[in-house]
Amino acid sequence: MLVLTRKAGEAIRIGESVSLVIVEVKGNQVRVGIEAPDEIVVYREEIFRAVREQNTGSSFDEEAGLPTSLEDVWKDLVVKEQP
Amino acid sequence: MERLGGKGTTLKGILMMTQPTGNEKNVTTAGAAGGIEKRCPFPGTTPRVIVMKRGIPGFEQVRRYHLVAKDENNPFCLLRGVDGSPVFVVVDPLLVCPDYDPVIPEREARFLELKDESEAALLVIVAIRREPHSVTVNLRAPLLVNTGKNLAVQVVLEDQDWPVRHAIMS
Repeated sequence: MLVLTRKAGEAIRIGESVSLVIVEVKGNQVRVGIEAPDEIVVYREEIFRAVREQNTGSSFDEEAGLPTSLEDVWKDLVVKEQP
Repeated sequence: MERLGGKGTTLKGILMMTQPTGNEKNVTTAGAAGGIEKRCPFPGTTPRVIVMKRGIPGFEQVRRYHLVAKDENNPFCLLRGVDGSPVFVVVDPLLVCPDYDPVIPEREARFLELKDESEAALLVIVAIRREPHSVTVNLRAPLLVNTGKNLAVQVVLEDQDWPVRHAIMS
């Protein structure tokens, strides 16, 4: 891993289009400003991982069949909602 | 921040763009006031091709999906890679969480070339688990769809507290 030392107000350029600016350093927290084109996603790592894992766990192989038929899902939903 | 995908944005916009066959069933309502509307996807339609502009995290290499209404009485749709995988079950979030009102970052709306709220629709991915049985939807990362251009992105709502697993039945 490349490690660079920067001060508040200084920046790091990644590729042609991404710039990271160190906005503030306070205690054990760093505020980072990111300039990147819209096609590049910028997320906190742990949130991105949580979403990716959820996506992976939500996908099906249709030929193997859905774990519960969608008809059952709907039926359960209707039953739950009825008074 | 620009607000998109509020109360007025539903799956209806997506389904309306499929080709009606002329024998659609009407919307029916299940349960008491505040119950879930049973919306009827138009049967017998050609799947709509949706381009996920960044792919779906975990499946970044797949960009082109078919959005398929599974059957006429079912509000859940399939989002299936054009080559057969992956397959997701998706649903209009307002059908399963009427209070869902996320703020869509302007950056994502711009990336999807959305000019007007009326051309935006939201879908959420359904997770079905067997042991123990649970059905949840991911409200933290909805799919934002440009219904006019058939483009979509999965938006990760970083600073909002919508859950990744919102139970829609126990």
